[in-house]
Amino acid sequence: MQAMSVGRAAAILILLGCSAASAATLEVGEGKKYANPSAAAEVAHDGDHIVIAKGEYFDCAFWRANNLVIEGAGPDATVITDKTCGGKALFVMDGDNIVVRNLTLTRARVPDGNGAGIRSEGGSLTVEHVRFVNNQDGILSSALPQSTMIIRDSEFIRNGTCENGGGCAHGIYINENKLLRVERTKFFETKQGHHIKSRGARTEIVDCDIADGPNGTASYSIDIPNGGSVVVRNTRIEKGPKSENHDAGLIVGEEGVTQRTQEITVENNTFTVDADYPSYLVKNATATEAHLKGNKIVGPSAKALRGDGTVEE
Amino acid sequence: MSLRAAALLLAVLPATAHARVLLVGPGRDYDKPSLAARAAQPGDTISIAPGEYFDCATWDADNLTIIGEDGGDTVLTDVACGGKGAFVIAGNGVVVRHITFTRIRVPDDNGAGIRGGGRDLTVRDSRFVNTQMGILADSPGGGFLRVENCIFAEIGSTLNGRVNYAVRASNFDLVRVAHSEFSKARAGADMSIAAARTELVGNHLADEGGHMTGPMVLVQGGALLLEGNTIDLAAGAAERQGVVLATGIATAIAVRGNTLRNAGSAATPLLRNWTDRDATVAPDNIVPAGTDVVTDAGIVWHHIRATAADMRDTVHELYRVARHLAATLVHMVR
Repeated sequence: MQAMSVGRAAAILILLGCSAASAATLEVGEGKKYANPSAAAEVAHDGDHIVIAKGEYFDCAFWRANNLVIEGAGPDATVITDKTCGGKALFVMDGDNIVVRNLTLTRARVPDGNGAGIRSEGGSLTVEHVRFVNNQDGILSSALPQSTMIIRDSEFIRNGTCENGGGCAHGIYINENKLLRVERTKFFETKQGHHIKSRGARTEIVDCDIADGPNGTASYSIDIPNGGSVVVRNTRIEKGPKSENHDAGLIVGEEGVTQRTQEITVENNTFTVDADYPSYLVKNATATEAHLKGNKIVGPSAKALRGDGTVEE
Repeated sequence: MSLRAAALLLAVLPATAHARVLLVGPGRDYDKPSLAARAAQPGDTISIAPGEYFDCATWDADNLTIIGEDGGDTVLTDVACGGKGAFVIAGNGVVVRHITFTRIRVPDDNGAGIRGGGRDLTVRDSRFVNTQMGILADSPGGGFLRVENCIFAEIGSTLNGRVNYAVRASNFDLVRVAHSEFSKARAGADMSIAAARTELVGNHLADEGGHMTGPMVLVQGGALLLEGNTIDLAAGAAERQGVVLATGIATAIAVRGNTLRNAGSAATPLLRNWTDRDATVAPDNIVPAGTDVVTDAGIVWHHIRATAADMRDTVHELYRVARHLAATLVHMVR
C-alpha cells in the first residue's frame, strides 16, 4: 500500500511538472510570433503569459484559457482600440483567474450600448495599471457569484453612456460577483452612467479618486443598487456642475434590496459638490445603518447622510 | 410541525375539496414563501416553518391563509416585492397570522411589511419591526381590514420626507385595529385611515418622544369607534392637535373607556374632532386634569383652510382646462 501511495504521489508530481512546463510566454507585436492579441488568444493555454509589445492594436480577443497573465508594455505604450469581439468588448474574458495589466483599452462601441473595454464572463479577474478611455462600459461583468474582481492602480476616463435606450453603461458595471475591490484608481468625466455600479455581494472602494470634473455628466459616483456590503475609504468623490443625477455620491439599495447588506462603512473620504445643488455623500435605502466617520464634506450644498445611519466626525 | 400547529391548520382549512396545505421552509416542498406564493391557489393554507427568510412574496390568489408555525419566529426580512412590501397581497379574503416583518425599505418611503391591494384582509398575532410602513392597504372598494393582536415597533424611515405610518388604510367599508401595540416609532405616526367605519379597540399607543409627527391617528371620514385604548405620551412627545384627529364627513363618533396618560406639558386632547358630527363621549374616559377628551377647537380655521385648498385646486383645474382648450383652438386655426 505504501509503495502504491508513493507511486501515486510521483504521478501527481509528474502531472504538475508537465502542467507547469506547458505554461508558455506568448509574445505579441510587430515581428513577434503573434502579430496581435487575438492571434495569441486563439492558442493560449491555461497558465500562459501573454506579453504584448508597444503598439496600437486595432483588434479584439476572446481569452478562453484560465490563469492567464496578459501584460502590455504600459498604458502609454500598448493600446487596444475600436474593435469588439462578439458585440461585447475589446477583451472578452471567458477564462477564470486572469490578470490584465499595463495597457490601454479604448473606443469600444457596440450597437446595444454595452461595448466594454473588458467583458468579464468567465470567472475572477484582476486588472492592474490599465487605462480605460472612451468606452461605453469600462469593465462590464456578468453575474459570477463565486468570482472576485480586483482593480488596482488604473484609470477610467470618459466611459459611460445612456444613449442607446436599453439601459446605461458605466465606468465599471459589475453584476452579481462575490467581491468588487477597487484600489488606487481614478475615475474622471464618466458620461451619463455611474462611475461605479456594483451588484456584488461586497464592494470595497479604497484610496480612489472619483471625479465628474467640470464636464463630466455622470449619475452617481458609486451605485450599489441591490444592497450588499459596502466599504468606501480614503477616497475623493467630486460631483460636478453637469452631473445628471444630483442625489448622492454613494447610493445603496435604490433598485430594491435583493441581497444582504452586512455593513455600509464610509470612512475618511472627501466629498465635494462643485455646484449649487444639494447632494449627499451617502443615500441609504436599506435598513442596514450606514456608518460614516472622519469624512470631509466640502461645498455649501453638500451633506453627509440621507437614510439610516450615523455620522461621526 | 407541532401538534398545536397541526390542529391550527385543521381548524383553518377551508371546506373546499381542493384547498391544500403548502409547507414552506428549508427542505420542504417550498424553500421560501415566494415559491409557495407562485404555486398558491384559492383557498390554500401556507404554513411557514420558523426561521429567517430573506425573501418577499406576492400573493395573488383569494382566500389564502398564511401562517407562521409555532415553535419560533417566522421572520420576513429586508426584501420588498415590486418596491412595495415583504408580502404584497392582491387576493381577497387573505388571513396572515403569526409572522414577523422587519427591515423593509424602498426608495419612495412606502416599504411595508404587508402591502394590501384586495378586500377582506385579516392580520393577526404578527409583528412589524423597523419597517417604513407596517401595513399599507388600499382596497379596490369596500371590504374590511382587520388587524388584531399585532405589534408595531420602530416603524418609520424616510428618504424623501414622506410621513410613515404603522397602519395606513383606505377605501374599506371597515377598518378594525384591535388589541395591538404601537411603540418606539422612528418617524411619522401610527395610523391613517379612510374608511366607511373605523374601529380602534383595546390598543396601546406610545410616543416615547423625539421622533413622531402629527396626530398619532388620522381618521378621514366615516364612523369612528374609539374604545378601551390606552395612550402614553412621554415628556418629549410631539406637539399635536390630538392623539386622534378626525376630519372629513363623519357618520357617527363614539368615544368610551379610553385612558390617556401624558407626562408632557402640552394638554393634548384624546380626540380633536374636525368633522361635522358631534362625538358621543362616555363618562369612563380617563385623561389628565385640564385635558379635553374631545375638542373641536380650531374647526372653523380648519374649514377655512380646507375650503381655500379646494378653491385652489379648482382654480388650477380650470386653468389647466383653459390652457388645453386654447391649445386646441390654436391647433384648429393653424
